[in-house]
Amino acid sequence: MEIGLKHLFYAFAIVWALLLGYVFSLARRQKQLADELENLKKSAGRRSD
Amino acid sequence: MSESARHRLSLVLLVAALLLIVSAWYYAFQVAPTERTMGTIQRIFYLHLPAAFLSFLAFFVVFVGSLAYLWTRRMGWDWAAASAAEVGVVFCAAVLITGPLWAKPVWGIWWTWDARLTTTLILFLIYVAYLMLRLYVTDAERRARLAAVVGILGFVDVPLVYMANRWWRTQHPEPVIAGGEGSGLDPRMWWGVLWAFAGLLTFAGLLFFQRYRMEAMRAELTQLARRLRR
Repeated sequence: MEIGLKHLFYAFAIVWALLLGYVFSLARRQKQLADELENLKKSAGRRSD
Repeated sequence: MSESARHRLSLVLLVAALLLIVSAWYYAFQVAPTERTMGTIQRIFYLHLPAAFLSFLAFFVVFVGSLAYLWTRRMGWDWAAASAAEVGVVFCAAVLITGPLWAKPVWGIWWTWDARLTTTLILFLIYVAYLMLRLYVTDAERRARLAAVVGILGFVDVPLVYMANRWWRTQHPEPVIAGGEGSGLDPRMWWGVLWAFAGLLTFAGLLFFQRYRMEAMRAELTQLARRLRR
């Protein structure tokens, strides 16, 4: 493979991986927060009963 | 905004971003001309330059959000600044990854401590420090205040990065956009850059929107936990 092409491929592949990794990290953290929020809301509901 | 409206907006942004990015890179590889001196490797430009401008834009939002927070003390501004800082760091990392991958076949070296490269690395480290600061301060108002100060002071580096290869002699090439006499781009290259920028900007908007939502959820969680403790 031509040297420039190899570097070009790595650049695009690594940046896509970086962006995808960030998207997954955002999704995981959002899910974690949503679960915590749900649990707290349930405990708040039980307390008011 | 209701949950379903939020989902719809996210989906629209995601589809639009993917369509724009894929078509922009198709254009960059198939329509835009090959640069005479560097050859194919120059096409990293369609990723490197839009990512750099997006990181500048994101750090400008941090600057504005920080100023607005100190002025109004409304937490929404702090959330916007924090969200923009994280998105900006991701795009700045993309610049720091694509730069050396472009430099190696063209300059023969991965990295050199010239003004443009060094100020860019410092920019990345400033906003990583900004995010770390936010992690270590637990009180929301204190965190917002301290982060706002860093967000305002840190922005000083953005014009330095932009002007570095205009003010000093650098290994990094002279600017092709707004670079004065002798600089400029083939119009087809211009279109490629603008198109890629539009795609990445839409994607960054989606990331910002989702990250902002996280801050709002965290605030709700803290408030609820405080109410339960009483």
